[in-house]
Amino acid sequence: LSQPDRAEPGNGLARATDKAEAELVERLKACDEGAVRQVYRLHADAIYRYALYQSGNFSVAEDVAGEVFVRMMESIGSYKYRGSPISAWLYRIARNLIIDHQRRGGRFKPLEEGYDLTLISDNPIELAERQLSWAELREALAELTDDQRQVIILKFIENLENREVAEVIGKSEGSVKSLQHRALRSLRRVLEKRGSHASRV
Amino acid sequence: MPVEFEDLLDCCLAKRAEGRSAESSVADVDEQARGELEALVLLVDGLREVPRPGLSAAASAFHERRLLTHTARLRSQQRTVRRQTPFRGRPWVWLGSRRFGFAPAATILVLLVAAVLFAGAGSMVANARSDETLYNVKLSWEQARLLLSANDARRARVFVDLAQNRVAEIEALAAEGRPIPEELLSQVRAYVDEAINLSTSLSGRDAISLLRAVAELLSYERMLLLQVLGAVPPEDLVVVERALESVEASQQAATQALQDRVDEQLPGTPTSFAPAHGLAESAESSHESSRPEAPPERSSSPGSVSLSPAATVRQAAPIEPLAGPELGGTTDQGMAHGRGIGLQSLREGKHSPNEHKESQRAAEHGRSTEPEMDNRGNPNKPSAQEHGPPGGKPEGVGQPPLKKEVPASSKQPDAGEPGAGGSKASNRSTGPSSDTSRSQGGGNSRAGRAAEGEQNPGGNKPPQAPGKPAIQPGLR
Repeated sequence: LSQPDRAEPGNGLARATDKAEAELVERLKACDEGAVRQVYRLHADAIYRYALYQSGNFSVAEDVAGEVFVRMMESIGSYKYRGSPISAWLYRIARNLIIDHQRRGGRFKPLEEGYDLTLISDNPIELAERQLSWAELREALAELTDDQRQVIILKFIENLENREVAEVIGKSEGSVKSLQHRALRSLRRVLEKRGSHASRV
Repeated sequence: MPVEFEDLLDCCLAKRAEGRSAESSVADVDEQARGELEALVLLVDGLREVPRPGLSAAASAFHERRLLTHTARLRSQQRTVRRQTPFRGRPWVWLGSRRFGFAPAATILVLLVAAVLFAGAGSMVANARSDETLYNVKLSWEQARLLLSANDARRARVFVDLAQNRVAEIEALAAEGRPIPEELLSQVRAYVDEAINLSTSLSGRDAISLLRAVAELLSYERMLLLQVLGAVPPEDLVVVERALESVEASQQAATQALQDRVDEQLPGTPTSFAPAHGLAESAESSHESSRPEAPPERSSSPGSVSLSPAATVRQAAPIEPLAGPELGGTTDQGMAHGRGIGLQSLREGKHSPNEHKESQRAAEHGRSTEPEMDNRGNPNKPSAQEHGPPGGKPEGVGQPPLKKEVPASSKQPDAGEPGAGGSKASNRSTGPSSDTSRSQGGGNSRAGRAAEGEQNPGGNKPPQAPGKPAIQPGLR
């Protein structure tokens, strides 16, 4: 796995200015290779992570990450830029693909065993703490509802704003606040039940 | 409380995101909620620390390559589609490619529904019969049309339209075997008279066009009434007979007016004008005259008559087409009855003074009433007078009904058939017009009319001769 990028809190969706984003959309509509490459390199990892946390399956996440951009190009002709970043649209495509996968029988599974986190960091202490947190998180997320899991992933792992989360999941900002509260309480309860490191903190 | 707590949590998380410590983020909150809020803020801190894996380099490169290949394919498809210009001449393709918003789609839908309702209501009103509720709406609409007609020409046209409507209603009633109200018949008279009166103030071309329409309408109405006559109950017979008489009077007035106008238009031209017959033939003549060299057999066919004044006028200046075909006035078979009956009474029963005038003109010009050559060099059709008996009353007038069989020679032979008429003279002498009219006893007597009715075994059904469509309300 590639080196994970550390997103700063409140980064929000990766996006250019409105004008640049609109131009990017127009170039995508013209099947401009440079624009396609730019969008892919900017958003591929985020979409992969989202799919990974949503599905709990590496191969599904990789397939989804590849397919999202193909779908984007197929539907870009009917896409109208209305001010919301293109990444919000990509998250929605990814979500629909995952829902399709789950309808076909692929239910959410805790993240696969054998995920080698040693590739992520060189610090053994940090590794040990993270591995613990990782194992706990993958099981705790499986016990949340779909909406709660989405809010946790998008807001606290992908660092989106409430407004952006609302755009992706198709709910109001108020609903996102409410969901965020319920999701955190549920997650804390699950982690406490398991006696995890995070709950002890 | 829960709502406030959600807001408090969101506020604390925002402070923490700005870089403040967990303790200071929840410092402003009251003690009761502070403990839980701090725990949740710390949990969020832990979540922000989880690994954030990305695609492997190999997987990323693979998917990027696949994406670019797909993009190149889409680009080539786009070029092909642009070259084909798919919307040219195919509006449904263009419509299909549009994504209408709710408001435009709803507007289009509402307009379509309104158009359908309006058209449906209009059709219902136009087809309303005298015993229906909508009939009053129809009459009001007709009066409105009259009021809105800007000049005499339009007004006269509206009168003809209204007369047509009444005739259509009479036809519908006759088809159902119901009694025909006298009011309907008198309305036709009134409208026709108005139209004829107004024609005096019109220009020559407009007047001729209008009077032709009136004459055709009257001819059709007469034919219709003759059909009805055979099947009406005795108590209604007087009404229909009276109507027939007035139709004939109107026919004569229309013919006279038409001939006067034609004379005005073409002074010095001999006119052998026959009312409905000439009108019927005028369409044929115009077709024939439009051909460079019409075959002589055609122009001397048994059903042909001399070139009508209207046709002559049309040659000089084209006249707009009338509703003749709809009225059944220009179809050979459709006019067969009308010719034989309507014309005969005009031609024979009351020998038109115009015929005398025409003979005088012909004598003055040193021309005989024998077949003439038209201005294209084709032999003209025989004049109308030649079909009738040489003046005086026709054979059928005032005589008991004769069940005369139509002689074989009177059946209209095909011009191209062998033995289709022999010489022109024999054709003229045994033309279907004269024979048919004689055999139908086209006089004014009831018996004669009843005999005419027998010619059409359909009883009082309206004449539905092949090739002649029934009159429809609102033909124009």
